[in-house]
Amino acid sequence: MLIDWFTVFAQLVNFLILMALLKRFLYKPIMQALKDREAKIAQQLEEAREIKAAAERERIEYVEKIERFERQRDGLLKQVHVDAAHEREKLIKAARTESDELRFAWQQALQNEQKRLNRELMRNTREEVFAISRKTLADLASVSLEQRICEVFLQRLHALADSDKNRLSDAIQVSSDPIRVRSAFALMPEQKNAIKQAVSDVFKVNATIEFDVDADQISGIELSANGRKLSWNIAGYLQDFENSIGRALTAKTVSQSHSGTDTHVV
Amino acid sequence: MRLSSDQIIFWQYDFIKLNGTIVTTWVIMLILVVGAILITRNLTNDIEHKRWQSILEVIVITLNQQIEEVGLKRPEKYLGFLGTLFLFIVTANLFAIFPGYEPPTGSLSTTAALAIAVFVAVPFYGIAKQGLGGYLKSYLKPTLIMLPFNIIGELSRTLALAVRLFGNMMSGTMIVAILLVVTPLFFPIIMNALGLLTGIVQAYIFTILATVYIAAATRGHD
Repeated sequence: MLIDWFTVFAQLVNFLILMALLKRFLYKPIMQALKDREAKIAQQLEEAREIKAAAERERIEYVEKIERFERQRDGLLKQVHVDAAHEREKLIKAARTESDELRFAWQQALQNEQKRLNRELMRNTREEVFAISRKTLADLASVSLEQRICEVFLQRLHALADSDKNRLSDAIQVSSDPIRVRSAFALMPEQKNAIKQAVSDVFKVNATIEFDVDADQISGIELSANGRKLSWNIAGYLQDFENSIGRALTAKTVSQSHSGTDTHVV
Repeated sequence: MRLSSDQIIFWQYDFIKLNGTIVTTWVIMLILVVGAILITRNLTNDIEHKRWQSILEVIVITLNQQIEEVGLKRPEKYLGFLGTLFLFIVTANLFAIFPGYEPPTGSLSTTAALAIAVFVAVPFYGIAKQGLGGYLKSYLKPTLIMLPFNIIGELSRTLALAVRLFGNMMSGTMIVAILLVVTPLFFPIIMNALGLLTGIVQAYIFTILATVYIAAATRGHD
């Protein structure tokens, strides 16, 4: 007999016991572990998705921030360039103005110095000429310079051109004031008389003459009546001398100022 | 000549006897259960886990997938029965690699017991799914005339299950035994290897057929 029914029954029972045991110790824990792991993986995936989404949001945010910063930076840079250009122009303008002012002040100072020098020179020259003339005249003719000046003045008076003579004559006659004679030095009585005489001879009038001492009349004599005047002094010569010195100095100053400007610019 | 391990009697009292089939089955049960306990004792649900756990998971998942592929929508409900069927048969067959071992599946008593289990399980799951009326109605389909044929079909396929497994396993063991006598070298080894393959295939066929029967009985609801 191939089938033993007791064994069949026993095997059936064995199989049911094995089924129960395996269910308890194999399928259940394994399926539970699988389920738990699936849940865990799903949860981790969900977390990863959330983290990724958050990271993506942050990335977009940072990209926007960077773009915004770049725009701001570009804007600021442009503004800075514009401001710098303005500032540069302003500074250059100010520097130019200052330089012009300095140059002007310098030229002014130079001119003042030139004028002062001229005046000094003129004064010195006058004094020197006066001293030289006086000494020369005294040495040569044994007469004082004043006397010689007076003589020259009288010669001039006599040698006046007719037109000048008439104009002066008219002025003397119209005027009610006395004729004024100003000299740099006090005239001697005989010199005064000689002048009176000469006036009377030349203008044919018997007018009153007042004599004044005027330091401005440099080694000379001036006759004035009603706004017209006749004078002789060395101031004329000195004036010519001064003018020629002045021209020479001006030429020198201009060349110096040019070279100075060039130097300044460089 | 001994055809079945049933004939190895260790102890007997009246009709109760402790034969080789029962003892071998106990050993296999012990190995399966202790192995399962040892491996599942330290289960972890971490993504990284132990190798043995992976092996068990692969086995269980594969069984689940096979059951599902046949057409049972919720395989975990049938895993206990069908999985145990497969694991028991495959283990019993594979141990044939040990010399002197006689597989309990080579005993018609064991295969009959398993076939009876399937024979009972089919209406059990069918009724659980469709209800008693619904299940019984399936015997009347397509017409009432088919009722006896359906009943005969039910019985014959159970018998076929039992005899198929028994025949294959018994023959495998027998062939090796006979060849050992005829050609003691090499050839029995090849046949033994072939026997291992046959054992696995038979375990697969038995389980798949049981699954198909259960699927047929529960169809319409899943």
